[in-house]
Amino acid sequence: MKRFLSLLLCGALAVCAAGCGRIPAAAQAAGRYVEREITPPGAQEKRARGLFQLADGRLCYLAGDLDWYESGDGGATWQPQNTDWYEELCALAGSREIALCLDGDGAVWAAAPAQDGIGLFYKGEDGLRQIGTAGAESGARPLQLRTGADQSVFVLALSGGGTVMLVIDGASGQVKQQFSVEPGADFGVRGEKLELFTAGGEQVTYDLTGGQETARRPLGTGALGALGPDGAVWAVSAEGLSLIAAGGSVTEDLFAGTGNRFQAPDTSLRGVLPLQDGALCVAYDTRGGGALCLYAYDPDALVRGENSLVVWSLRGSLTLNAAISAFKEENPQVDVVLQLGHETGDAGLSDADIIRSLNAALLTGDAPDLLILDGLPADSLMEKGLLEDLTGLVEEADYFENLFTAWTLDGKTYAYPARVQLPVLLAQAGTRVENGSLSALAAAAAAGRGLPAAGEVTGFAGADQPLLYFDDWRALFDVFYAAAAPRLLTDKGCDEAALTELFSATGAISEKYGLAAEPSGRVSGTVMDLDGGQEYCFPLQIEAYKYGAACQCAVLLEDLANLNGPFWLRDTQVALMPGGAFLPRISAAVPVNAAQKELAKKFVGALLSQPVQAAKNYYEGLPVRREALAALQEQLRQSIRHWQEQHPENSYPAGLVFDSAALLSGAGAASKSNDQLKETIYEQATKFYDKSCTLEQAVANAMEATRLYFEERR
Amino acid sequence: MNRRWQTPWRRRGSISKSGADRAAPPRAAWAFLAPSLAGVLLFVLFPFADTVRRSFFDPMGGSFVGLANYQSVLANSAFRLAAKNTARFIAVCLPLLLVLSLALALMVRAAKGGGRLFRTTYLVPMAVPVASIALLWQALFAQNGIANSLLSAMGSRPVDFMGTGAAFWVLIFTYLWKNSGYDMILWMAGLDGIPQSLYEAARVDGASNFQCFCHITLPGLLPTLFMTAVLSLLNTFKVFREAYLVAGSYPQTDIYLLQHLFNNWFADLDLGRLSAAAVLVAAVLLTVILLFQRVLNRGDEL
Repeated sequence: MKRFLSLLLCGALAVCAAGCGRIPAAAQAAGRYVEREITPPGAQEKRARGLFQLADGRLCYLAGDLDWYESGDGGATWQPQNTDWYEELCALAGSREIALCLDGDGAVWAAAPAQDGIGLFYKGEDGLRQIGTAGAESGARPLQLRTGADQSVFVLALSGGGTVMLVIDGASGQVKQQFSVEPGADFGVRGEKLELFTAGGEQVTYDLTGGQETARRPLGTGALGALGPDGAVWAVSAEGLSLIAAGGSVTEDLFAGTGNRFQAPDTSLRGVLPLQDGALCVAYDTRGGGALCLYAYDPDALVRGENSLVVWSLRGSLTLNAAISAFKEENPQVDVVLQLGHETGDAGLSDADIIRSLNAALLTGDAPDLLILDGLPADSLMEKGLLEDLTGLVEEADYFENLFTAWTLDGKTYAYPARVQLPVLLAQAGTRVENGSLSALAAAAAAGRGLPAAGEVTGFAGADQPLLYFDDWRALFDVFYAAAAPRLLTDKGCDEAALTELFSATGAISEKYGLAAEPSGRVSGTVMDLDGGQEYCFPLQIEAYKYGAACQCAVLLEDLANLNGPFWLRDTQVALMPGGAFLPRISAAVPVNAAQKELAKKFVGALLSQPVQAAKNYYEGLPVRREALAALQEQLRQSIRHWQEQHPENSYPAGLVFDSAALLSGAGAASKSNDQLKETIYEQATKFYDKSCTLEQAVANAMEATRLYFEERR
Repeated sequence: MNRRWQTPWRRRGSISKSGADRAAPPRAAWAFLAPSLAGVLLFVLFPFADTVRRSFFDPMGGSFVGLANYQSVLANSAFRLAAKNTARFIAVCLPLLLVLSLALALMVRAAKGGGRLFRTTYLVPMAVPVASIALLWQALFAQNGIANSLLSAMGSRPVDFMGTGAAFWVLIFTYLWKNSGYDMILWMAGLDGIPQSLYEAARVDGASNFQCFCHITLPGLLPTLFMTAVLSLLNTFKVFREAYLVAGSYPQTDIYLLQHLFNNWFADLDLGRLSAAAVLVAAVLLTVILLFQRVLNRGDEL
């Protein structure tokens, strides 16, 4: 018996030690779609106008106003073509708002706004001529045109407040068919069907004989669609490249968007052209120009790169995607695998569940190579020695090094934030800003006017404006808490004095403005569409300040573009809220047991590089790199100057009168509270706001409610 | 105790062990046990051994820290609070559960038709998923839930069940409701093991129902008591699931249990202290179970 047990024990140990759970690495698979940039030389500075393939397979690329390039070898080499006729066309059309397309023989068809509709033009071997003026109302504007069988020309146009499709006889210029369609970005014609691809990522099918919609299907958030020669539908978005076979419903993902051109900084889709050989050409707008890429199947390309870098983040981020693109450009042999805790559309798992899974991976040696610390117990990771020391990874003089103190412990830096958000006060230049303390700010608000009891606040409210505007308790609490957090949360627990000040200040403002848990709706919001189908909603405090409903604005500054509005009315100064706090965002760290530490460190460098830092902020925070912030501020000033030049009749003020570099340099303490603590404190604050308890009771309850959290960590 | 009503098996202690009794089980028995034993070794004992090892190392398992983790755990006020609450919970609900489930078992047995309907009814709570219980809990005990509506209708002030010490009694109630059926079945199995001839003999001798219960039923149920008590003790730790789903990682102080602390320490990657605390709890539980077994065995011998 003893011998049997001993044998069993030894066998079990041997099984464990042999690592029988490991799955041997699979042999490298080959064959995948690869991306190749084929922008014609000299066209990088020009925006794409059109992308076509002739019947003989030649590629034609139109850019700028107007350059025409042709390639017979799939974009390897390009030959510029004569476009002297273009000025003549513009003169003939009487407009430069011309939509162009090439037919299979290389002849040019053009559509331009005309006095009584849309003018149709043709340029062939025999020269340039006007075909006629087609239907639609006066003021119609052509967006796209395509040629079809029987010399039909299809024109997608804006007309009468909507979008219409005109089917025109190319020989006579007569309108054969006209019907309303969805606002579309592009379209294709297959037999008697019109396939329209909307900007919202849908494919809408119309019957050309009657103009009725017969089918509709989604292609993906923000996807741009295109109809292939074989009837297949290509969808291109920030998620990547997909293909739906003709008549089918299964989507085949051919090329991942992550880490590729789709998500590169300041890059957006311009046009898509499926080619005869099954490849795909995509035109992009880049900052200051355009780019053209070819996506073709390479049977020899390895499915996985020589090296893999696993990047883990709780949530996706456009800045992170841009960093992946930038990193891959420098390191094409490295596969970047982005693992998101919350996949897009996933609402089932809580942050705690995901963090538990991550912890299990960290402890079992299956750690990702790079961690984005947002939402993670980062201080705990640092204190327990789970993060690599990254001190000296970047030249700190190039950055606002005070912002790197967020993740510094005992003189060592364990992570670098790529973005920061700042609780700030906006006010008219020259006016007094009470940013000495939260109490002083609240007292100044209480001394001023209140908000109207009900109704929307629009227009200028005159000289007696309320000092601040908040739409509800949440908006008020979020900003003040962010400012107060560094002083509020200590190693030993909540600081009672800081908590009392926070509750007292926010309570006074809540009472002054009659705030409640529900939004008051007194100011309308502005929603902006971002790349990748995401949306950004401007803080209502900014809207109120912009429209003169409040003298000042307390807000979490997420982007210099937040300030684009206020400049319209007055010169605006920006000051840090009391405490000078900043919120580190998209903070990158390397686990000590990461497999690819050196690559991970390079990635951190990519995240902090100039192209990524100076790219669109996507409202994820301000850059931490000095040069990038200066570039962004200059960009903003240029857009203000451009607007002023365009509208000299309006006397707009100078706009930005603050030094953003000084603002970031002045930020002192990192505000790193986790959501759980914040919500616990907010819950107690609301009981004070609605007078369910006194200030002392609310503070005591909050201290008690957060006591366990701090005691666990002692 | 009147020896006439002692159960036959009580006499086994007086039988001298012969060589036949000491014969080892056949090898085939071990062969059948081997897979299960291997599973227990791989998935229970080895991980526990690793936990013991980790309790003496830092969170990453790199450097030996001796008893520092144990000292830290015992000095941690959150651990002391959680241990106190857990002990309090066990001390209150375990006896209540045992008594309640025994009473249910006796009543079901006495019911006509074998009490099949009642048996099923009492077992249904066991089949209810934990998430459903959490939803039910919220519907019943929320600030504007059904319980407070009833209280308001009766003229009483609403009670903050989840935000005050009342949460502890809600937890007790939930545990009793969910596990009574299971323990009732265990008791019923134990009751079935007591020979009816004893009761008949006792009645012939004029024993009342109460005397039968005290001198036949209870002694006969002692082995079942041990098993039921140990299983119920282990089930008390599962009540964390309901508490966590309803009240989150940091519930009201009175229902902050050891698993809350372990859960939070794991999220914080405080593996050293977590392992030390787990070892301490396991040691305490093992001691309690062994003591209980000893007490019952001593009673058995008497």
